[in-house]
Amino acid sequence: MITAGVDIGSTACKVVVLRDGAVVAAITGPSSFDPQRTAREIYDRALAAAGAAADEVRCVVGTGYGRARVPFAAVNVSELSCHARGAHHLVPSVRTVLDIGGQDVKALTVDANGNLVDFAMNDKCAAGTGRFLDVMARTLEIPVEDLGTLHARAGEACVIGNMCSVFAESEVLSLLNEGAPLPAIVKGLHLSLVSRVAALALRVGLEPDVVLTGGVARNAGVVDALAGRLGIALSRLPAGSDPQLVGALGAALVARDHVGATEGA
Amino acid sequence: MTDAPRPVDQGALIARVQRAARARGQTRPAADAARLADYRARLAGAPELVLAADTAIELGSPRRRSAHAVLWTAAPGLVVDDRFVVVGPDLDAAGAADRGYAQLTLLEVAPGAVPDVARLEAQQFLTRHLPGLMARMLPGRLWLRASRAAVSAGLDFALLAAALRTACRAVAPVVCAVECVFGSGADDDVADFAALAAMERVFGPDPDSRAVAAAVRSMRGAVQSLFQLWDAGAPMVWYNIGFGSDLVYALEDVGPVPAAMLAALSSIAGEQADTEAFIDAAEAAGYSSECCSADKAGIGAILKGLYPEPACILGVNTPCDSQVSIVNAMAECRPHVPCFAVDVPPYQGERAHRYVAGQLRELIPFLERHTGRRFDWNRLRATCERTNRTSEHLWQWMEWRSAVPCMQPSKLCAFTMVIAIALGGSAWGEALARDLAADARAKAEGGARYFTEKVRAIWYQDTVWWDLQLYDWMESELGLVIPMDVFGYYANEGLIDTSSEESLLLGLARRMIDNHPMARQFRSTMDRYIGDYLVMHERFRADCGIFAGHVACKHAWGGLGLFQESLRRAGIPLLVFEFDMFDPRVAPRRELEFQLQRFVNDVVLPRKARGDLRRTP
Repeated sequence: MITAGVDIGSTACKVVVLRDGAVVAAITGPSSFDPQRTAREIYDRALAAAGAAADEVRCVVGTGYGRARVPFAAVNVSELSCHARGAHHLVPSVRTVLDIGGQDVKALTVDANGNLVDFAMNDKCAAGTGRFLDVMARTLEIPVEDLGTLHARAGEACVIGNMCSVFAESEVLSLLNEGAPLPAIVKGLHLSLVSRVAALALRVGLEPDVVLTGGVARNAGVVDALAGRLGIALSRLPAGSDPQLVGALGAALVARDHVGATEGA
Repeated sequence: MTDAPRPVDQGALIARVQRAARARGQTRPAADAARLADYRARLAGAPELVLAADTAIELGSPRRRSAHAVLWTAAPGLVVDDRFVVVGPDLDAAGAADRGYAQLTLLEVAPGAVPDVARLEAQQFLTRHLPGLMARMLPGRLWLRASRAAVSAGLDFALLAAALRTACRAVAPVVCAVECVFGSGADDDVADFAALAAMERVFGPDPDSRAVAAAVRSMRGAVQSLFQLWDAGAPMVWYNIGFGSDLVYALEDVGPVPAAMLAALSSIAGEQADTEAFIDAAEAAGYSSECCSADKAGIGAILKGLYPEPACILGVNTPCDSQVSIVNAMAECRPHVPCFAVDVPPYQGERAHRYVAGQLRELIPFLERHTGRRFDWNRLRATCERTNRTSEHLWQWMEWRSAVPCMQPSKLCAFTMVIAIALGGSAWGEALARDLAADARAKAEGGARYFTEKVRAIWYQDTVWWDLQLYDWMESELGLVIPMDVFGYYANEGLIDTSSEESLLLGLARRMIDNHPMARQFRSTMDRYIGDYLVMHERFRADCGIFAGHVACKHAWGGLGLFQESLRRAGIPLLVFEFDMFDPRVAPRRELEFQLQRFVNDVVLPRKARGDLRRTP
């Protein structure tokens, strides 16, 4: 049985295809002003990678902010439930999911069965999101992919008091002008970002195991800073799992459940 | 838990109508089909419009009383088919050509059938299809004109009963029997039927109208009274919303003017744009944008000169910083008007009550001096007794609203705050509280429902005053009902001991500190705020909480972490969002809908389905 999940986020569109519960394709592409077209393109690429025809797919679930714009999705499910489902599938002992997306950050608590219990999120400003790091990397004139490496090289971190992207950018420019080392600035930015994430985590009641998902989870510097801030080790996703695809994976799993429930009924 | 809306069998009401009609009127058979056909043939081609010059008799005109209703029951044998009762003269009788009119159509439907009430109600007006008879439809009024030609051709109530019977059976095959009651005499003959028809609206398909109408009626009455006092040159007293109106109502012919009054009135019953203009005016004049919009709008209204000039100003430094700001603003805007500021201490208990009661005693000669009205302890006692009766009505109302499923609209919770701030101690406040309770009881006992309840939430924080229809959307789209909100909840500290002067003042002080909206919740520590929530959650059998975070309410936001933690430990889901209670520019309705939808659909309903919510055993 083939099912698929399409996660249209603010900065990236992710598609995961499952065959009998195993991931056979996972494709990520940039979001555009036309979510419908983006979803179709990424989905077609994922089907090609899976070697599956569209009519073989039993169910497609759309999730993310653009989920209502996935015309071929049978069901729309919120990203909260899909992230909970995906993270629980990868790490069954997970109880807290922290997801740092392109333009929002969320903290989810899940029960032993992967059901969403509570959530808190910031989707009003860029503080604590991937967008914050994008803006800072541009200001520092470095690729965003290098932030993790620079973080590892830092000794003391610079203190960056502002979580707001606009004011933090001014602060970073001042630090550069004062001759602060680049790795220290990067580490300071990560500490600033995770302070926002940690606040959300505490709002829902931090309970181990804790998993970090979303594109920003690829940044080892953020993972290190967050673990330090929370005072606990974050659980690792299984080798080969992409933290950015957890929502799409969850959607594909929900699609599989949906087929099972429909056939069971 | 999830009762579908269903019309309510009105057998008991039909029996009351029949008793009233048969005791005073004559029961007769309706015209048979042949006579009806003959009449129609004789009047064929007659103009539909009956002009005044051609009118033989006018029934239920705006100069007279008028009442109408369609009532139905599935009880067999109650409604007598093909019969009608007339109280008063028939149409062809000599006498006054302008009479009151009542027309009640009683129906029996097949067992288990659910009639299309709306279509049946429309038939009341189809009497216009009797040639020579014209029906005019006005809200709550059925107004008939019969032409001279029609009366000459034999038009009478027997024909009218036959026409109604035919019309009802034609549109609703489930109707088995039709009996009509006509009142056609003096207004007094119609009055009883008007009362019974009004009762029909309580049980009818639009069951929320009575309580909402009561709220509007009370607010309108209070404002009209204020205008009358203003026109009569009576002294006015301005006060901020931390102050209860009871003491002002205890002075004869003194107008109480809560400074935030126009924020509420323009948002609820006027133009929301006006509220926003008031807010902008206050900010433009230099008042802090971080102040509460209720107070900013009040300041804006003062700056625009919209309130009657005060004889004196009362201020209280509770419950928040914005209250202090508006007291300062009132004093600044009217620097030559005497101002009395009551200091409420941060601590709780008897010591605080006595401290405030002492100031209220000092306030009395201040009010006498500046309003020119003599203070009368008996009048204060009567006012406080009215306040007590209001509280008792509200307690009864809360009991009814705790029933599952909820029988009244969610938005009604908001109006108890209006009672406390603007109508406390007034006849209007008592009437509103009584009507809220009576309506809830009638609906609960009648089993009337008009939405499918899926989730119950305690709305903890401020009302969305700029769009009360949001609550209707919550009910219809999400099945989310608010049985009670934080400021509508009346704690049982509210009764005033009226036995002595001292006890009266202590009682008023206790209400100001322990019962008044916001003062109760935001003085001292968060213990009471959290404790009240947990009590309300159990009492109203809620599934979850909604912290509707008014941006200016710093006290609530400051204690949010403790509140969230308490609810998390109790296993109660809590939605937290930001908005402004009088200003949709901070967060528009679409944003609130998104937040509510996500919370209900992603968290509460799945948890409820799994049995994963804290519930009263």
